Amino acid sequence: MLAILEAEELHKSFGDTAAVNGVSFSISEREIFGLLGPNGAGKTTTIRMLSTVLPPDAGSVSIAGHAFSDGTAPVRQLIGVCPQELALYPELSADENLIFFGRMTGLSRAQAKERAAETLQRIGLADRAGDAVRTFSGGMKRRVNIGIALMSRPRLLFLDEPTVGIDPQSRNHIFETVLQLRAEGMSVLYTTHYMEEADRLCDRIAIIDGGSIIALGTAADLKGRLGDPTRVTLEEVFLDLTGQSLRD
Amino acid sequence: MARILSVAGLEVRRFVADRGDLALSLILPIAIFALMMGAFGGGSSFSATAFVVNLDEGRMGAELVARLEQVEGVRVKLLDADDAARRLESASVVNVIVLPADFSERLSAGQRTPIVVRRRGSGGQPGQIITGIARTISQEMAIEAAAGRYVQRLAGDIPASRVSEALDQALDAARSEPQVVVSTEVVGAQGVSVNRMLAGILVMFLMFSVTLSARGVVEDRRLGTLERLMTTRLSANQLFVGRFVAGIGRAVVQTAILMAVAYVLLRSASLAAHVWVLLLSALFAAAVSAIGLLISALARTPDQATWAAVFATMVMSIFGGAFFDLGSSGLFDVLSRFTLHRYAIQLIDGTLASGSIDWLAGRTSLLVLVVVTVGTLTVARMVFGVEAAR
Repeated sequence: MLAILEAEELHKSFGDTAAVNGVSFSISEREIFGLLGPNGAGKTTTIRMLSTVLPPDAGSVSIAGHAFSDGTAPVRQLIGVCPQELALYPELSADENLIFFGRMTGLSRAQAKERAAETLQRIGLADRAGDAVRTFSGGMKRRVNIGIALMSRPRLLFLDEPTVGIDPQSRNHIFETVLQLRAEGMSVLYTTHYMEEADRLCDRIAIIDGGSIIALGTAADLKGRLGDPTRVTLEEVFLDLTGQSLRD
Repeated sequence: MARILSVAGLEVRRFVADRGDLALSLILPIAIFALMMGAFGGGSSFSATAFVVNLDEGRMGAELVARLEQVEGVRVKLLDADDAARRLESASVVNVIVLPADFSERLSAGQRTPIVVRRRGSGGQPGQIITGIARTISQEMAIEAAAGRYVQRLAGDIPASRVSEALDQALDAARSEPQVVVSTEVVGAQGVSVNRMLAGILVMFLMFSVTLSARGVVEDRRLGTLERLMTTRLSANQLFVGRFVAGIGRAVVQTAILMAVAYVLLRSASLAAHVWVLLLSALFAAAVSAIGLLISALARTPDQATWAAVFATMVMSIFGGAFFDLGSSGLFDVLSRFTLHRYAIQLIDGTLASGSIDWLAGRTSLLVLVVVTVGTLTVARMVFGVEAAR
């Protein structure tokens, strides 16, 4: 299968601290790729580099054959980013948020309006389109956060902990949306602290710690390291690989 | 260009959506202007209280007090010496005129007659004016007394009481029909002071918008929208210019509303002058917006941005002459040269007075505003470039 993303030997340091230290992996077309790791492991720094926000100190990245070293403008047309925090304008409506960010991805006003209507339908908020986001519940805000990332119909979607702090219904809605997006041809890089989510959604999973990838494979592969994959949980594998000590 | 206008439009929508900001920047200037007009600009005459300690044992001290009370806008409050001392000590009164016990005796005799003025500091402007009026009245009474003595000498055997009575009648007649009549010609509804006040308030509130500009990028960073925007096709330049344009646009809306209200209610200047002021406000807003962006690029948190903007606003309002005339020399004059207010107020005040921009007289002020805008914008963009990905 063709790779939508290829990262080779990524390095990033802040002062004397190496946040990412030689990370390499690829994501295939229509693949949901999980990136797991404890707090401070280097997940967010990796995503920031892959989403063109932060230039790597060393290494190379290409998305759909466009190397970052040749400029990030073509890459930005191919990606959608849903950050961990709710990166929304709370005083504006869901509709206004979607249209504004859609315009920023290069859509015309008419296209942005049409795409916003489709997206609101997809995230189940068509009936609240005109309401200010600040009046929404946590789950609704999370769905708007994802909806913004979908406005440009990206080929690669970055979802950084998209289900933090929401109810099971909203979480399930997000799962279904992600699976639907893959079915439509989108690739997804997904980070989460919920192991059952990664187990359920991700085709392959990389576990990162100390700025390096310490394991990579399907959920079954990873669980097979500790025994019978049908009896071992991904959380047990994760704790086995990253240790029991507190990170915060 | 479309993305720049979208960013500017976003700011305007957020501005309108936030009722607090809207009230602060649109309603408050009008309310403050109305209050200041009521406090300082509504009447044309002087108004103050004369605090007098009358120790005089004769009739001339009472006469001086009576004449003071007849002066338009002057009220007289008689105090005893102890009360006056207490009030001066507590600063509830800052200027007291003390008429000595021999005031009548010395004035009648044609001797030098001291009036003691006890005051705290300068005595305040009203106190100084009251003192000047009291001095003039005393001098007038001294001249009248001298005239009485002179006429009495000429009158020979005519009884003094008849001479005095005749003289009083002549003086009363002269006072009731003054020879010198001051006529006032009002040019415009409220005169120049309104324009000065209007310019000061307008500039001060436009300066407040520095706070809104300053919080813009910082808020984006806090919300996470800045990072999100950096993954779109929006360039840092477009984001920066969009914010800049938004600051100007917001200020122009504010000015348009305030000037429309001023024109409808006051008619203190021509419609053309109001339109020129709108353009000058846009130039001032450009400089202010650039300062706001610089603060925004440097600040780490919204609170830091707010306090830096408030500090800049207050310093420029105080030293830039938003509320009072700076004079043409002295420390205030020197300090005001480092504020944008001075130049903006000069331009706006002059334009309201003359009906259009005086390009020649205003060239220095215009140049300062343009240089500050371009210079600050350049520095802010450089800092923003470094800090954007923070």
